[in-house]
Amino acid sequence: MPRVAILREESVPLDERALIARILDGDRVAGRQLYEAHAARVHRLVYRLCGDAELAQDFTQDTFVRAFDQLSRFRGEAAFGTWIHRIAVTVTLNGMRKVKRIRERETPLDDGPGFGEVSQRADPDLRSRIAAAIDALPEGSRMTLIMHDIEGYTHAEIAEALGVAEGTSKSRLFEARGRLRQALAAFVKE
Amino acid sequence: MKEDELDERTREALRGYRVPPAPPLDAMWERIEERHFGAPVVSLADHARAHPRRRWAFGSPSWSVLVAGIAAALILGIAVGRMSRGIAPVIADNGREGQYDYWTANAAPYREATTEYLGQTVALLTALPAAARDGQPDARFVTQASDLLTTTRLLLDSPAAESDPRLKSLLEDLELVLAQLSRLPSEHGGPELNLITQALEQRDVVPRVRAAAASISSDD
Repeated sequence: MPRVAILREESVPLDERALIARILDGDRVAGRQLYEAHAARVHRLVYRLCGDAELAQDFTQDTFVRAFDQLSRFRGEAAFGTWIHRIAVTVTLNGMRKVKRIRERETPLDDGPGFGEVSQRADPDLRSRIAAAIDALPEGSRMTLIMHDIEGYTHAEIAEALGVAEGTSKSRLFEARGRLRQALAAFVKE
Repeated sequence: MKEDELDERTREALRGYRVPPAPPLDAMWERIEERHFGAPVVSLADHARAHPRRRWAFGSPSWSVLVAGIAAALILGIAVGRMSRGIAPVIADNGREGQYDYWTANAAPYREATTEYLGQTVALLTALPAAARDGQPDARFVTQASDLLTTTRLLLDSPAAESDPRLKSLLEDLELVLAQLSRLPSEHGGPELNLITQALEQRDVVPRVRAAAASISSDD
């Protein structure tokens, strides 16, 4: 048998079911293990969504506390990772809505400066322009774009995390990319 | 600018959108632990005051275990330090040429396995204070150290370790520490565990192992 196969089969994959049972039994070491397995990715996503280091820490903590508190309701139909990402998205969205500073950043597209107008002239840097364009996307499209094109989630994972159909995730991504291209169209002409 | 070029630059810019800082995993966990598990976080100093160490004498049956455990932690600290110094410019400059060629070239399965292993080892090592809290190592803790020891030896026997001397050195030293942890006596093992924990903490071993894992996993 190839060494790779041996390694992959016997590398002690995280047995989440057993860890969850131990956490429910009050085992904080198991809690730490489950946290270590998922915290970095949860934090990455939360930070990409909210763009604020302190809020990202708070939302990540809230996510795990809520997950541990509700662990008895976790039925194992989906992977724990999928489940906790769904919690993370919910916690982050609710948290952002409560924070005025973040809400201002969430100005609806129709109320904000038009794509390819102010930001294009004010800041010729492509990265800044893209950041502004992403920030101006509708919430669902923005989250889908971040999760799919930046963080590499599949449409199935996004659908599960956001509580929408896979088709909705695909159409939102299509819409988001279209708006980005529209915002960046001037670059093609240069 | 052509559309292909725009697409490529757009992808690059997307990757640079709100690049997350390194997550403060330990600080976040302390708050999560306190909020969910309820018990106050006990520092090592508090623990040492609550559980005064026995006076050790040469000739005590546990003395050799204690010395070996501390020595393992010291060696690991030095070894991880060496590895971290090699990694530091990679993180700072993002210039990985000449470093970790093996990982970047061929070793996705090994990288995955090693990253997972290092993550579990970090979890175990960071759980040492909690495991020592009652003055006795938890049986599950010892079992897990034993399981990780098995994985360490599998990785040491893999081409990944053979191709990367620094990784091999780290694995050998982790093997030493895990071997000590897996042999902790079921009774009166608390002082050894506590001293190993202190030695690891003083040398920032856990953050360094975590940095090594991050370096490996980021070589996608």
